Amino acid sequence: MSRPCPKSGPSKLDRVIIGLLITGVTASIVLEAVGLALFCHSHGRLTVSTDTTVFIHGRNLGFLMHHVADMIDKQGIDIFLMTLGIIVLVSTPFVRVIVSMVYFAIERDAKFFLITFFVFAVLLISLLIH
Amino acid sequence: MVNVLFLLLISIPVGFIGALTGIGGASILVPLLIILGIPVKQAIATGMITIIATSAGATMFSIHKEITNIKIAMFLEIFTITGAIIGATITTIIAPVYLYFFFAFFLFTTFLKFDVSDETGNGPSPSRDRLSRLMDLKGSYFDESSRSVVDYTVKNTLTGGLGMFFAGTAAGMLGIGAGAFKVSIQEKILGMPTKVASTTSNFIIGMTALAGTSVYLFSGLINTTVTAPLMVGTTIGAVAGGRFLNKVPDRTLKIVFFFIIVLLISEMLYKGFSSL
Repeated sequence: MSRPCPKSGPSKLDRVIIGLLITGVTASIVLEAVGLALFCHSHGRLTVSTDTTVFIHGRNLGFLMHHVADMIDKQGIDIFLMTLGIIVLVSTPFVRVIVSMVYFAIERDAKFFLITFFVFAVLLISLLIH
Repeated sequence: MVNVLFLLLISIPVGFIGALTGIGGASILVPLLIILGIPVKQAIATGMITIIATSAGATMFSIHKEITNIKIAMFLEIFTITGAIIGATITTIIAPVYLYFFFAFFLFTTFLKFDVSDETGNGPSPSRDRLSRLMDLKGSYFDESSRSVVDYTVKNTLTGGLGMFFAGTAAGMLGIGAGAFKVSIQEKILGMPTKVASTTSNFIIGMTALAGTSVYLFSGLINTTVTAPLMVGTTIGAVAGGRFLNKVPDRTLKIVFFFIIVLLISEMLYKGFSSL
C-alpha cells in the first residue's frame, strides 16, 4: 500500500546509530590502515605473515582488553594497532545494542527493551565465556 | 605468500558488490581467500570480521534514507545471533573438508536473490499474526521511484524467525552474511518490501557477524595481517556501494554476480572433492 507523503527525517535512535557506526568503522579502519602500514614498513615487505605472533590469542574479550597494552612490547605497535582496530570494530555493534537498550528504557518501550536486553546478554555471555 | 596490497585491491570490488546486492561480500571473499591459500577456517573467521565493517558501511546510508526498519531488525536479531553462535561453534570443531561442501551448497542460496519480486509493500495485512501485532512489527518508507510512502506489516513472524535462525547458523558456520537467504525470508515469508528487506538484512548481518566473531575471536584463527587489508578494502567498497545503491543497472550487476557465484561453487566443490 502506498500514499503520497513527504519524508520526515531520521528518528533520534536512527541518528545516534548512524553516528555510532560512522565513528566505530572510521576509527577501526584508520587503526587497521596505520597498523598495516607500520607492519609493512618495519618488516620491509608487503606479504602477509603466518607467524603465530600476528594471530589474535586470549581466553575472551575481557582478557584481551586487559592485556592489549602488553602486546606493544611482545608483538610490536603494528600488531597492537591492528588488534585494537578489530576490537573497536567488534565493539561497534555491541555498543549499538547498549545504546538501543538505553533508548528503549528512556522511551519506556518494555517490549523492545527486553529484545535488546536479550541480544545484549547473549553477546556478552558469548564474548566473555569463549 | 599473499601480498597485502593485492588483498586490499580485491576486497574493494568485493565490498562494493556485496553492498549493492545486499548479499554481503563475504560469500565472494571467503572462497577467494581459500583460492589464495588461506586455510578454510581462517578464511571463514576473517570473513566474519569483515562483514561487521561492510554491514556498518552499507547501513549508514540506508538508515539515513529511513528504509532500514531498526525495530524489525532488532527483533529478528534474537534468532540470527543465536544461530550464529551455534554455527560458529560447529565450525571450530568439525573437519575442514565438510566446510567446502557446506559452502558450495549455501552459495546456491544466493541465486534466490535473482528471483526477488519488486513488490512495494503489503499494507496492513489481514493475515498479520498475533506476535506481529504484539510486537508492532510494521513500518513505512518513502519510495523515491514512486515518490510515495509505502506502508507494510510483518506476517508469519514465528516461521520467519525460525528461517532467520537457520540463516544465522549458516552465517556463523561459513563466515558469511547469508544475505540472500535473509532477504528471501524477509520478503517471501515475513512479507516485507524488497528495499526494506535488503537494507534491514544488511543491518542484521552486522550483529549476526558479531555473534559469530565472538566465537572466532579467541579461537586463534584471526591473522591480523590478513584481516587488516580486507577490513580497509571491503569497507571502502561497501561505503561506495551503499552510496550507489539503486543507481547501478541491476541487470548488469546480476549477470556479473551470477558468473562469479558459479565459479566459486565450482571451486569449492573441487577443493572439497580433492580434500577427500
